[in-house]
Amino acid sequence: MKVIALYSIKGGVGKTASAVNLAYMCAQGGNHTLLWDLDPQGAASFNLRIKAKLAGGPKALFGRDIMRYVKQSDYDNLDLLPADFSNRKLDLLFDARTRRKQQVRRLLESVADRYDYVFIDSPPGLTLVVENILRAADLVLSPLIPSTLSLRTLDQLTEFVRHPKLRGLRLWVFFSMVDVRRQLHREVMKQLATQRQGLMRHFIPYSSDIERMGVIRAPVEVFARRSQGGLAYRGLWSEVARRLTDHG
Amino acid sequence: MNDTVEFILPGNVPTSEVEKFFTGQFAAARGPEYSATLRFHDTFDWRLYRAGWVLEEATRGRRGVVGCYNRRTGDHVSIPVTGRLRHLHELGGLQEERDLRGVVGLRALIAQAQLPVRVSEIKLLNDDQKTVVHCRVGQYQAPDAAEANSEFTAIRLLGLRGYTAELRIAAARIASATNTTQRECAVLHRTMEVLGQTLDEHAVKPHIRLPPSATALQWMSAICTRLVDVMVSNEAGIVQDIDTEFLHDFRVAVRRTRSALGQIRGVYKTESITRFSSEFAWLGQVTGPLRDLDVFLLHFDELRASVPVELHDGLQGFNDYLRGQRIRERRRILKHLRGERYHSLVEDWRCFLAEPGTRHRGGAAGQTVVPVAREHTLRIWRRVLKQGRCINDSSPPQALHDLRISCKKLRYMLEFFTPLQTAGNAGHLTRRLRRLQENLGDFQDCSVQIETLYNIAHQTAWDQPDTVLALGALIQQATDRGTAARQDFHRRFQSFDTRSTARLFERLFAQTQIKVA
Repeated sequence: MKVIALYSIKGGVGKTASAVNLAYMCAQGGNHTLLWDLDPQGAASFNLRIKAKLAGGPKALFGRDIMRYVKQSDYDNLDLLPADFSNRKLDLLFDARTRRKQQVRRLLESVADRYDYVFIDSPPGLTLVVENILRAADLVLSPLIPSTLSLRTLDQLTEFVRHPKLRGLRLWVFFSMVDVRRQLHREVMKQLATQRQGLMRHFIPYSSDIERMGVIRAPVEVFARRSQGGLAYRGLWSEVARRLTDHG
Repeated sequence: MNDTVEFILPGNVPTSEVEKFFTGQFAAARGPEYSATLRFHDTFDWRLYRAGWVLEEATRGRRGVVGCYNRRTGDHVSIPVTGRLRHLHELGGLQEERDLRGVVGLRALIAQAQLPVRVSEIKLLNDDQKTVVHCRVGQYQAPDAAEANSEFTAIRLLGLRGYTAELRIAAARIASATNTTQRECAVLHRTMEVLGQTLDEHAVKPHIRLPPSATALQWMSAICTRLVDVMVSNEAGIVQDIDTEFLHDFRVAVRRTRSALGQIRGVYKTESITRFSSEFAWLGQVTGPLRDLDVFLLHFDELRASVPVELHDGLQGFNDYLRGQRIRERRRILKHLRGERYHSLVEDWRCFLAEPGTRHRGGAAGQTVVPVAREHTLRIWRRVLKQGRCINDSSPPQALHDLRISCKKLRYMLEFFTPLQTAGNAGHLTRRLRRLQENLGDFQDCSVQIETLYNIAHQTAWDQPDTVLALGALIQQATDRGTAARQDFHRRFQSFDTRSTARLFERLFAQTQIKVA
């Protein structure tokens, strides 16, 4: 089982859209896939038409069989562990426990035989929940809007994942919400491509089809297969899958 | 894996009518409609079904979907396949494939029943327009419509993970609208009914359904009729070479028949069954070499793994030899199975069993079965104890072989008369006996293997000297295993020859107390 976290310190960079679309494409490839919506806003759950509610709240989830809370999506091989508004208090819950940074990892270990891939839609920020996610993940996919401020947060994240406890965690960055008409976006992308190794070749454009996901409540490929956004996510997933194969 | 609920309705119920069952509770979204052929796959002896699984395949042209259901847990999973399903590995290495492979063992999958079906898919949606239950409506009719009520509609509700409450509500809606109840594996059972087939007809063990007041003659006749049915039902599988277990089951039925004739004495006059006894012995003898070759080939990978890697190439010659011999042996057996001798044996035996004239009846024929069963079962048990207690470290291998045969006879007796035995006792005894039989079987297998390998090594001109070396290594392996089995014999026998086993035998036929040997 590979655990892929969609994460950025910044909010509003396309984490949720990326988590939903990449998890969908992964499942379409025949992989048993779980998308875990850990963002209290519950946008990933909403996009899959599943209520962002856990019976008993996160306290119950972290004390019981995870499969009691998993919901089957409308798409083959794709399950969702829904968000809950009380997930905003997860830091407090974890902090009161022993092994407080391993709660997410321990919960996922119980479904290691059941799923090939777990995607986590992470909340933004650098919190205890995020530390839990990073400890559980094999790979962090980080969307990056090509702007100066985003570059600062990328540096912070890069520094953060160098922590000895996160050894073996891979950080792959891809550009998100790219507007190729804007000179700044083009320049930042060009500059970073020369400075940073391991940047994903595929990027996600700013696209109205991706925005419509929240209206139609489905992965973009379901309703706009040949759209720019759909093709971009298809290309990005192919690249991620290929890299994962190459890296073992 | 999710829950499944099935309902069967008589006649042809339109999909639009089914949709109305859910009005006010769920929105219904029509999915595709298509004609398909539904096939239920299982092994010849229904191993999957008996282990709780139903494997069905709906094919449309080259495309198919295999539904894998666990009738005990209600779980299901659907797996798309290309072309007709023939082997489990076509399920793509899923967990379900591994589960099923463990159940199927050496047997091949065959299409046990099939019916044409017109399928309509309906999705039941909640307020968020999220699918919460899949509903599959199938309209079935037997191709030749031989049976007046062969037309039926099956409604299958497939639950989605996390939406069990919605599944229960949908099922309750159907139940109240149609005044029917859900049934486990309803589609399979109804299909079998329509086709006039039953699920347990190929079980190897004789399940006799007669009252304890039946006579020994009635019981004996029921056992032997069942066994000859098993033999005949396995013939086609041997001829088509579907899997090796057809021959195995055929031979077991022959062996059981011989054992019944030899051990349940006094039911038929000895002179009346002499010809049958010798003919069944002949049948066992002519089918033996092919079974031996099958056993070698079935365990070839294990044999290969047991010798040094340097000799693996040498074993290929041995494998080619076994396969060549198997082709020749199969030809020989097919000739026998199509021959006059075999057919007149089966025909005459059936006639004899159907109406044994009074001149063929022995002194015990008219007795009630219980004392006869008790007498012969306990006689063989005492023989097993006597033979086993005489075996020591210097006993010849033949002594263990004789004990193995006696144990086999005792096992068959326990199986023949299971319905007459105290519930629970027979199971305990069979398990204890099986542990002893495993040890004796291991020793015997090794002895036979050593002799066979030795003969093959000497009688055949091998192209590669490595083949002879590999055969030598296999003989050494078999010798070591045989020695280990022999060393373990006393421990196994002592755990069978106990006071508690004796008590179980005493109470096996609970009517009267038996004096223990």
